[in-house]
Amino acid sequence: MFYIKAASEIILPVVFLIFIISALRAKTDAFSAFSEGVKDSFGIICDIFPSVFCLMTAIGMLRSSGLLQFIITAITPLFNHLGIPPEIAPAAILRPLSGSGSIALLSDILKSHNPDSLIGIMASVITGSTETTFYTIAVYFGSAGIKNSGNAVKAALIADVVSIGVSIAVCKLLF
Amino acid sequence: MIVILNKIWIFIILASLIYSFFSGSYTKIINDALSSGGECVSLMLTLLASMSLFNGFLKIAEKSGIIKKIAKLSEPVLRLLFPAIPKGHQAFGDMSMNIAANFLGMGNAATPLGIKAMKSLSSLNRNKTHPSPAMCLFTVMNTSSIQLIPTTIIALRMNYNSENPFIITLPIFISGLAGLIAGIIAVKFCNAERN
Repeated sequence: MFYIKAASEIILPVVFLIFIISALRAKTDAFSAFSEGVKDSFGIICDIFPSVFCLMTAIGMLRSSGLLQFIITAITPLFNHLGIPPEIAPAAILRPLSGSGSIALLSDILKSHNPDSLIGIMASVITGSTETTFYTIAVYFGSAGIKNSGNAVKAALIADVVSIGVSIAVCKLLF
Repeated sequence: MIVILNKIWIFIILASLIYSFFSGSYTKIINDALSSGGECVSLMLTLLASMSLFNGFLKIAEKSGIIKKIAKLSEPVLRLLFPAIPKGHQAFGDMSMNIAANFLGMGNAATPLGIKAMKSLSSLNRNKTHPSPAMCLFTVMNTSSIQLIPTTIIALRMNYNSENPFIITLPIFISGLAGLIAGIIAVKFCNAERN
């Protein structure tokens, strides 16, 4: 397990080192290239800001109005019936909607429950098994100037439901 | 034409506003919306910093020919998923870098790479406001990407004194993979239906 941690820490410095060394070998103008990359980033941020802003505002209102809590309370009996701890319901629902929200929720759950308990593990797996759907779509399609998201949203949500479902099932089986 | 994201967005705002009148939270809902906006701005600033760093290095890698080399290795596999993209196209390089970054848990590096890939794919797209099947598939793959090392989750668990922070690695991989496969099938199905 130590090796996984060591590996994930060492990857980035090694990768950057490889890049610089190959720049030396290929006689690339690294400084100009780097600056160009930075300039590109600025354009990207400008492109994605509006869509992400729209999304975060909507999610913020959803939480603030209490509607999110209402939905969670409504789903709790179903979860109890399936033998799933209802505490993970907010994590499951929020995951496709908000990345920072999911992380905040996971922190909350890990803080108030033992991280190695079924609840702690299930919440961790749910949060880690998929990305923030709407944010990713907003960023990727926004940067490419796509106005019509079409089938992507449906397919992505199906993927999320499967991910979350499998997370819950796997955790119930293994722990 | 009203698109699905538009419908969902309108629905969320509408439902939240109406519900706020019933729950009494209408007094604070606009303030909370404003602070969400503030969160978005700081998020963008953080992203700008990390994106600039990664993009800078990646541009160096691109100009030094490394991206092309990596692309050559992974292109055969990606061609199975993206048959419409011409052999040797830039997009394969960008996509494989994005997938590799996500796989290794480098989320912040993956995003600019993904955006770059989208731009490459966009150059092959005929209808500029509608995603091509390739763009759809690639984006959905990113919404459900699998990670070998889920760095953020592990860090959080260690922060809260988990005795076994890495125990979630395999379950995350399994459920991530399941979601990825489901997503790929769903996109292929939807795209086939459309045609």
